[in-house]
Amino acid sequence: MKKFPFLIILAASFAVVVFCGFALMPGARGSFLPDSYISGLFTGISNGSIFSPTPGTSSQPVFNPDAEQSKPPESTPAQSPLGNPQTEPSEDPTSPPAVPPTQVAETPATPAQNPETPPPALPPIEQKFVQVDQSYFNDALFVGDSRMVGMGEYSGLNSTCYASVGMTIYNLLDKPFISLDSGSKPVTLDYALQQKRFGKIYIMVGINEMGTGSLQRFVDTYRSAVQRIRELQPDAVIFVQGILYVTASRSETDEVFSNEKIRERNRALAGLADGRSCFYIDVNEVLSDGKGNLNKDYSWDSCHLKAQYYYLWVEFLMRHGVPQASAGS
Amino acid sequence: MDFCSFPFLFRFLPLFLLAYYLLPDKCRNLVLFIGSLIFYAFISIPCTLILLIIVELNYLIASKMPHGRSILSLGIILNVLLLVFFKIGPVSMPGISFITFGMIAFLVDAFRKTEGDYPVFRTYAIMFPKLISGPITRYEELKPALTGKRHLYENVEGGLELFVLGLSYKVLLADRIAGLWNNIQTIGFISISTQLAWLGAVGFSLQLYFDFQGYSLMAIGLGKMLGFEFPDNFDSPYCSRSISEFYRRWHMTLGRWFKDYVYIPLGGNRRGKVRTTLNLLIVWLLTGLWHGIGWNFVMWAGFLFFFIALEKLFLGKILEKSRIISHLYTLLLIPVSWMFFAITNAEEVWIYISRMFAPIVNSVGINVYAQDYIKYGKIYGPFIAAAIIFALPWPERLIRRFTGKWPVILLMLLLFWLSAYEISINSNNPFMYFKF
Repeated sequence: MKKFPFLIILAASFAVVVFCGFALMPGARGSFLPDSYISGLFTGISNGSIFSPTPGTSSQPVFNPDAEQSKPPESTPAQSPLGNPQTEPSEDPTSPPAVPPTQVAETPATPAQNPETPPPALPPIEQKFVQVDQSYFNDALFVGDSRMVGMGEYSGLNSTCYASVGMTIYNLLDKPFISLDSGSKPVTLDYALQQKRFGKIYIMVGINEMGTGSLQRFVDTYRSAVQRIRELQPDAVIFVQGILYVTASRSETDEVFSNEKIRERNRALAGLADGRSCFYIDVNEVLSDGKGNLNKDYSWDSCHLKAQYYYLWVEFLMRHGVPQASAGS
Repeated sequence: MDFCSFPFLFRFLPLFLLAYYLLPDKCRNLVLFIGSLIFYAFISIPCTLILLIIVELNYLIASKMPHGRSILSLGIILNVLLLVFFKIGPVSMPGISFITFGMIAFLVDAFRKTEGDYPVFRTYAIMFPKLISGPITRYEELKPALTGKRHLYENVEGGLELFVLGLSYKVLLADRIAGLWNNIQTIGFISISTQLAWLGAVGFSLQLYFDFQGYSLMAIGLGKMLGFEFPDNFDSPYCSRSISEFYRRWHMTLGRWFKDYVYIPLGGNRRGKVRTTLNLLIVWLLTGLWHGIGWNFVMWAGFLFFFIALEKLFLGKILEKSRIISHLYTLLLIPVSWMFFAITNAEEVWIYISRMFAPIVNSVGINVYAQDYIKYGKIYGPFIAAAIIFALPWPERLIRRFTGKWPVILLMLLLFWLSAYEISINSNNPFMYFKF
C-alpha cells in the first residue's frame, strides 16, 4: 500500500464498481467481461432505473420488438380518434369520409370544404387551409423537441415556444423545463398551458422516441397528450406536425433513424387529426429532397435544420393557416 | 482501440499491465511488442500487417547506415509516399502520420550516427502508448530504457496519475466543449452572432488543446508506467506572448522534428534573412500538409507563417516590450488561426471569419438568433472556464508537485470514475488527431 497507493486504490475501486454493477443491475449479468457490469451500473445511474423499486420502470422503455410488427391503424371512414367531448356527440352522416390515416405523409391531409356558413350540425371533417401572414402567429405556441427549439430561435415570428432538446411524447406534458419568468423555477407544459391562452398550438415530437416503445404506444400517448392539451386550451387550434425526416445518409446507415420508420409513425399521427380543431400537417413536403429524405443541403448534422432554412418551414405554416371561426367549439 | 474506451481501460490495459509487471524483466520488451500488435490489431488487422512491413523495411534501410546517402533518401521518400498515400488514398491507416515521421527520424539519426546497432527497434517502433498519436520520439531517447535498466516501480504512481489527468482532459473537458462546435455547425456559420463566433473559436481552441494534450498525457503516463520517459508535447501554449512562442510550446515533438530534419538541414537561420524566411515558409507549408492535404491547411500554415515572419522581422521586439499587448495579440490571433484549421471548406472559412469580424467587414448573417451566445454561454461556460484554468501552468504544476500525496490520489480517483461514467453514457468523440 505504501509503494503504490493510487494503483491499489484504483484496483480496489474497480472491484467495488464491478461488484455493484453485478449486484444492483441484474440485467447486466451473464457476461464475463468486467466492463459490462460497469457500463450497466452507469446506465442505471444515468437513467435512474437503479433507484426505482421495480425493475424496468424507466420512462423510456427498452426498444420493443413489437415496434417492428405494428401496423398503422386501419382506415375507417367514421373514425374520429380524438372524440372531442365539448362538441356535438353525433356525427353528421352525410359528411365525406375522414382522411384515411394510412395516407402517405407528403400530400396535404384535408381536401376542400366550405367553412363559411355556420352549420347547425357538426362542421364537416375536411378543412381547407388558408394563407395567413406573420401576425397569425402572435398567439401561437410551438411545443416539442429540438427541431421546435429551432423554431423558437429562428422562425422570426412573434410566438411562444415551449420546446426542449430531447423532448419525447412521454414527458411532453410533465417535464419541468419552462421558465415563465426569467430566473423562476422551471414548470411543466401542463402547468404553463393553464397560465396563458393560445390561439394555435403546433406540436412536433417523435424523433427521440425512435427505437423505443411500440408504434401503438407512441400514438396512444400522443393522442392522450393532444386530448389533455385540448382540455387545457379548448379554443386553440392544434396542429400535429409530422416528424421531420433525417437526411438520406443517416437514414441509409441507421437502423433506428430511418425515414421509412418515420413515415410509418407519421401515417399514424395523421389519424389523430379531426379536421375541425386538430389538424395534421407535414413540413417534409417542403424540406425533403424529393426522395423521402431531409434535403442534405438544409442540414449539417443530418437531423436538424440549419438556421437559414427555417423560413421554408415558416412559409409552409403560413400556407396552412386555419381560420379561427370554424375551429373547435 | 481508443484509449478513452472501456475495452482499453478495463480489458486490455489491466491484462497487459499484469503480464508486463508479473513477468521477468527480460520478457518485458517482448510483452510490449506483442501487446502493441494486439492493440493495433483491434483497430485493423490489415493495417497491422502493413505496419509490420513498414517497420521491417525501415529496419532494413537503417541497417545499411551510415553508408549511402542515396539509401537514406530512398528511405525518406518511401516513408513520405506512404504518408501521402494513406492520407489522400482510399484507405486510411490510423497513426500513419506519426509512424512515418518516427521512422524518418530514426533513419536520419541512424545515418548521422556511427553505430549501426538498433536493439529492440521493432518494439520501439510500434509501442502502443505512442503508436497512434505520438509524442514523436527519437530512438536514442528510449534506447537506454529499452536496453538497460528500466525505472519502473518508482514511476508507476506518477505515470498512472498523468494518465488519469490526460483521460479527464479528454473526456471531461475536450469532449464536453466539443458539443459547442457541433452546435455551431448545426446552426450554420452564416447564422451565428459575432459573439457566438468568438465563443466558438475560443471553445474550439480549448477543445483542440485538451483533446491533444489529454491524449499526450495519457501516452506519457502509460510510457512512465512501462518505464519510459517520453518527452512532453505541450507547455501551457496559451500563455505564449507571440505566435513564434506558441509553436515552441504546442505539439513540441512535431516542432522538434521539423527543426531537426527540415529547418536545420535547410540551413536554419544561418544563411541570411531571405533564406531564413524561405526555410520558415517551407517548414510551415510542410507542417500544414502533414495535418491534412487541403487548401484550408495551406491557408492555416500561411496565416501562421505570415505572423511568425513578421515577428522575426520587427514585431517580436515590439511584443517583448508589453506583457499585456503580447498576450492579447496571441489570444486574438490563435483562435482565428484555428478556424482555418478546423473548417475544411474554403468558402465556409471566410463565412466564419466574417462573422467573427462582422461589424468591421459589414457581414449581416442570415437569420441570426441574437441571444444565441447567451444560451450556449450558459451551457458551455462552466467547462470553458474550467478549461481556461487548466490551460494555465499552475494546476498541472501543483498536481505534479504533490504527486503521490493523498489529495492528489483522491482527486485522480474521482476524475477517473467521472471520466469512466461520461464515456459510458456518451458516444465519445474519437481523438481529433486520430485520423493521423
